[in-house]
Amino acid sequence: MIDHIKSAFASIWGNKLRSLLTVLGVIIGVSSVTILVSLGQGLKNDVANVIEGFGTNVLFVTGGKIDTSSKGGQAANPADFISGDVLTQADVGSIRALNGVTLVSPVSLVGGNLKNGTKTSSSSVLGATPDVLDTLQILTLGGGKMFTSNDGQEIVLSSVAKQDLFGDANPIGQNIQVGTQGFTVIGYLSKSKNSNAISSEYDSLSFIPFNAAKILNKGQDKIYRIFIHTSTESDVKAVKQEVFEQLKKNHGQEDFTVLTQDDILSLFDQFLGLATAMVSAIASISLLVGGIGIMNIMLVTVSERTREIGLRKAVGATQGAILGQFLTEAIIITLVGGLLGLAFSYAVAAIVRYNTPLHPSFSWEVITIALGISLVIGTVFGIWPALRAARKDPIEALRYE
Amino acid sequence: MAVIALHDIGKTYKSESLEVPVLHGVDLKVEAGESVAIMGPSGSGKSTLMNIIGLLDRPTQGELELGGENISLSMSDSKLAALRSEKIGFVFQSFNLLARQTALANVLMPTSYRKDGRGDRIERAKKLLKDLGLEKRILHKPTEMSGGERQRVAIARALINDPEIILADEPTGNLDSKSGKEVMDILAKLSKAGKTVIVITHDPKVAEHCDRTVHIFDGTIQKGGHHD
Repeated sequence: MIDHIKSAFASIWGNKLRSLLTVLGVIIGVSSVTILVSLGQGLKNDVANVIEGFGTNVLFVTGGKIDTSSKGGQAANPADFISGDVLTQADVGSIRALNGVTLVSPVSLVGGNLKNGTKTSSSSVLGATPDVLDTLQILTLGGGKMFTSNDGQEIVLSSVAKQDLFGDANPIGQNIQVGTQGFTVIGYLSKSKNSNAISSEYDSLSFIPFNAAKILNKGQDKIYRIFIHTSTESDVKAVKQEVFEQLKKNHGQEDFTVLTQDDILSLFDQFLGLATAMVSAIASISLLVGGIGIMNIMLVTVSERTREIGLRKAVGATQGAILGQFLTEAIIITLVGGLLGLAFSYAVAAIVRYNTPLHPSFSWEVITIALGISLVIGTVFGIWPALRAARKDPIEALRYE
Repeated sequence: MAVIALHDIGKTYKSESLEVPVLHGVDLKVEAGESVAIMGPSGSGKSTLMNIIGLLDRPTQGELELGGENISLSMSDSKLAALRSEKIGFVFQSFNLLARQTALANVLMPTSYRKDGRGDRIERAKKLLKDLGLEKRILHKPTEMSGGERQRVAIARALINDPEIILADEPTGNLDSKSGKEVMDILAKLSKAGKTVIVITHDPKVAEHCDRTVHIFDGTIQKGGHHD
């Protein structure tokens, strides 16, 4: 076996350029799969981190029906998620009365930019109740204080909005514009812990009192989400079921979705699985082409080395030994391709990590996938050339010119 | 005791419409330590005879004994490969060395197909190369060597598994006369040391180095005679 491996490396090294061109397809295929898997893993870690930041005893209600079962089913109307016409103050009241619920925070979406003189920020503004930070858990005050009533022209700036409007200056007590109305800054939020691509969404949320938002929304509640905090000892799933039944009774139909953090994770998994399947399908074409390239070059190698095969048989190599030698060579050439593909995607991952908020994750899973694919390609496409080599007649082979 | 014993060996190549008899009724006995030249024109059947003695080909009739072992026509390919590895060392006209490998690696190659005798194989290979005057060539590649040196590497390779029989097919065919003589002297020395040496050649000068010459013509052995 060691002799096979040595001989395989000697042969690959002897035809450096040819070997490299041969494995190009494998390199491309392996690197596209591994880049995607590592990005997906990274995103999944980010989502998990955010969920950890929320705490598992937070759930929320959104308008529109999202199918969280993996079976698919009826497509949701995307407009329902953001219209803010589905959920009402009555819903908030009835959820608050349920067992195991400690805090309920309805949140409305306010249109329009934030303005401080000539500086603007397009980060989102939400109308919320004073307990919203306690409910969400992921955001904390960096300075100043939270508003204490549902009324008043006061604003708590997101870390993004603070940076956009005031830079490093202290914003407390300053006046800014939200749409057409003036607001006084009474506090600002610090960057969320575990900052990443997913949680940075939360870093751009500024809050104003719920009724102030209602005025900006022309007197409408426009409830976009209801965040619910359950008591630590209660079962989140049981609370979810209670909320679901209550709202179904309120609405007479299922035009809303109650999501726990686990549901969000599984929704994300579904999406990620679909994306991975699609890219894998494309990558498998590259791997197929790469495999055919390997087979082609192995056939050339077997033909070029006919005399060597004859000689090896003359000095005692069995068919199995010759088969093993050429199969080892095909596998090693694809494994080298797999490692190069892995190195390439590792470099891409590093570039992505330094230049974007994404955190591609290079786990053992990724490495195993890359090397596993290479092993399979090498075996599948190397077996036929190796069989041809093994079946050569030694007399004919020794006579080959 | 005869190391090689052929009795009534015949070989006929069959294709769909054609039967080509190449050897018929060949009897040959070669004793241990004997060196024998097999001479004959092209097409006489000498290569076929060598392939049969070398267990690369099966006769269509007759009996063959090598090193006291009866070779059955029904032996599997792997059994024949194992017997080749144990009993026979090949030397070819065109050396058949692996171009990208060193002299040492070339000599070691046959040992990779053996389960036993791998322990001190590097020492043995170095000693063989040294005995053949290639001490300074151990890590050289064939392309860096002269023809005579290459053939000596090939002889070392034939000897690495310590076979009873050395089969040399036109071993001097690609060499100048001086190197050719050197190679034949080495083969003669090996025969004196107890190896059985068979040389296929069409060159009478080469045949003179052997103890006796067997002439083959139209697939039949003509006469046997002793030199010296």
